Amino acid sequence: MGAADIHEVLRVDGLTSDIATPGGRVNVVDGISFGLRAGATLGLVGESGSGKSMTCLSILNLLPAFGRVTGGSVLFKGEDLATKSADEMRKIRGGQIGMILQDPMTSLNPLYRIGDQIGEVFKYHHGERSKRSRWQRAIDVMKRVHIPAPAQRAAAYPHQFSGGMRQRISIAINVACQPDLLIADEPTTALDVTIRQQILRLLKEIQRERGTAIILVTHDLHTVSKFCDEVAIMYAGRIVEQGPVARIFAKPAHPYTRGLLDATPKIGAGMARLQEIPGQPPAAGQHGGGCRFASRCGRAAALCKESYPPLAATDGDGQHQVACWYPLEAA
Amino acid sequence: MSSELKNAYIEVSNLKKDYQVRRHFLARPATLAAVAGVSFTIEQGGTFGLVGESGSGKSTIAKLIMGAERPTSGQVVIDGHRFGAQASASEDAWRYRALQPVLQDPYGALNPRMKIGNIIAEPLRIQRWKQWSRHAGNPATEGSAPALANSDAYARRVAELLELVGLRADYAGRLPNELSGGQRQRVAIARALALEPRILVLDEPVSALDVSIQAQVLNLLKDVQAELNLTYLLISHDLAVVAYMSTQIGVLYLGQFMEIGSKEQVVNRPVHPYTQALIAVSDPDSGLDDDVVTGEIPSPLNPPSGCPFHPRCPRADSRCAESKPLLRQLGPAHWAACHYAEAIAQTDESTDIVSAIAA
Repeated sequence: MGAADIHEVLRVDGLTSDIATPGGRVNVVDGISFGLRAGATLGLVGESGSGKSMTCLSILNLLPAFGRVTGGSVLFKGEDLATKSADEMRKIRGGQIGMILQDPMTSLNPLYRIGDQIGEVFKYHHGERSKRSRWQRAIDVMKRVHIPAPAQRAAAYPHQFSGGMRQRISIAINVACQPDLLIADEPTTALDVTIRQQILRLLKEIQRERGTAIILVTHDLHTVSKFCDEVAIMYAGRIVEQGPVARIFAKPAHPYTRGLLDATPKIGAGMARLQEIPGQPPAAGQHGGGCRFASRCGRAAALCKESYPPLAATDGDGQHQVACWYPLEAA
Repeated sequence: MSSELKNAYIEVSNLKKDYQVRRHFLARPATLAAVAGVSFTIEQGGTFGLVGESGSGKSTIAKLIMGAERPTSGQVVIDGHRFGAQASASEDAWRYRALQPVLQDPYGALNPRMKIGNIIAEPLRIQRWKQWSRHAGNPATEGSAPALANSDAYARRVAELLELVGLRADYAGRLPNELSGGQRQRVAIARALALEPRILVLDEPVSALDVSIQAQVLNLLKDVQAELNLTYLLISHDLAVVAYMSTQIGVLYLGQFMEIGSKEQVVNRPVHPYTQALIAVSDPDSGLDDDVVTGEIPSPLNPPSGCPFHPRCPRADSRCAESKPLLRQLGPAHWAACHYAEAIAQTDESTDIVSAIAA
């Protein structure tokens, strides 16, 4: 996480954004910072409302009309995305930065053939003018994401594909432009468990070919432990713990991370009772100045309710960081 | 299987459900076998976990057991009451009280315009709780049933139920939109318990909830089960959830059991390649190869020949494509439908996850 790393594709620093609600503007992303190198995968983990999707939308400058980025910077390949015009951003999105969403049915147009939809990417991002050549290139990328019989399937409509195949198509649309960064927001949540594995494997394969950096947004800790190199755990708009996956899963330092791991049922674990995290996350904007997890935390003391703990390194090389006044000791 | 287990409280035998579907309005209807001959038993106070992916027929089985659908053939016997292809009004009336569902989506399950208290009291009013209740001496059991949910007896029962599911009594006056997803699922559980059912059918009860809330609801369901001696039929795509909750597990694929047995057998000594694949993708510590299952789930309209899993199975050979393996017994509480189940059980040391982890 050095300051000027030439392999770093993305550097997010102090990103902050808020949304308008009937009760006034509410902060949803609060001072998020991380770096991502080429070929690496960052898992962004959190429960509903923790701000993980809002973080991604803030990076892409795609917040809904009632949202806005209020602070921080996003450097993509060394360039500040805030300085880009709307036109330039449109070229970057879908070109150098791809995005995969949870339900591909809503991101594909039900009225156009798949071959045309994939081909559109070559028209807008590569200026490919021949319709026939666009169709051919669409078939090529369908082959790359292992869709069987691509030449025939290119003529089919989205509803004629299964959920797993639709997700492959949306990956095809994204890899058509060979992006340097791929943001995947819960890409496997809507899929069956045996299909999930296939989609994750496909993403890994594409990452290996091109050295694509991936941000994987998920609530599933299993997926993170298998698929990601780095992880950032979000709670109520902030990162509470971040660092290399192996270290955090072996020795979580934040009570919330520990709680998430203990609350997840494990198959081999016998009938021991799951450790629940009491209470529920605070609503956006409904937290005081203290640690946002304090009301649910067994270790919370007076200090936790007064001021928010800064992210601080827990180990010598500074890669594993935790925002807790009383972090868990290494077990 | 029925003779194997004493005190089978629910006994499902050779249950089948076909649907007629047309691909377009002029096409001849095709038969979709959603449930293709399923048998299992649940003992009283036990939890039977049905695990499977989309199209496996797990929700159809729940509907058949609840009486929301009639089976094409086969029967369900619950506590001596028999339910087959023919309807019986009196038996159904019994069933609608003895069984209650808790469904996946706690947002769709609650009427947004009704207060929580009314939502929980509604089944009491509809089923005229006074006749049903074992609360002798309760004012509600004498004279005519109170018409309004805010009458004292109903209010007391609602408060009792809210306490049982871990909500304060003042939640009775709130509307669903004031509650979080986990709290709504607690309300849905309270409503299901209102009529003192003997069985809860839990269809993906925690899939819509966040991890920390999921643990709360699963533990609540366990506590309520122990307190009221309830029998559960739990349906989930998540084998980890099923393994945590269940005493017995059935692994479904295209409307048939691939493997069924006690939780210990199915989870710790799986012998069917499909069960092994499910464990491998749900448990990073299993030591099983999670990279073996290829292809997609076939359409139940056009199921594969032979073993339904053979096109995706890493062990399949020509025999699997030709002849369909029947469910056969491998141990005291363990059945599997695979030609090579014995061979897998003997040779595959890694299937014994418990010893693998202990080692």
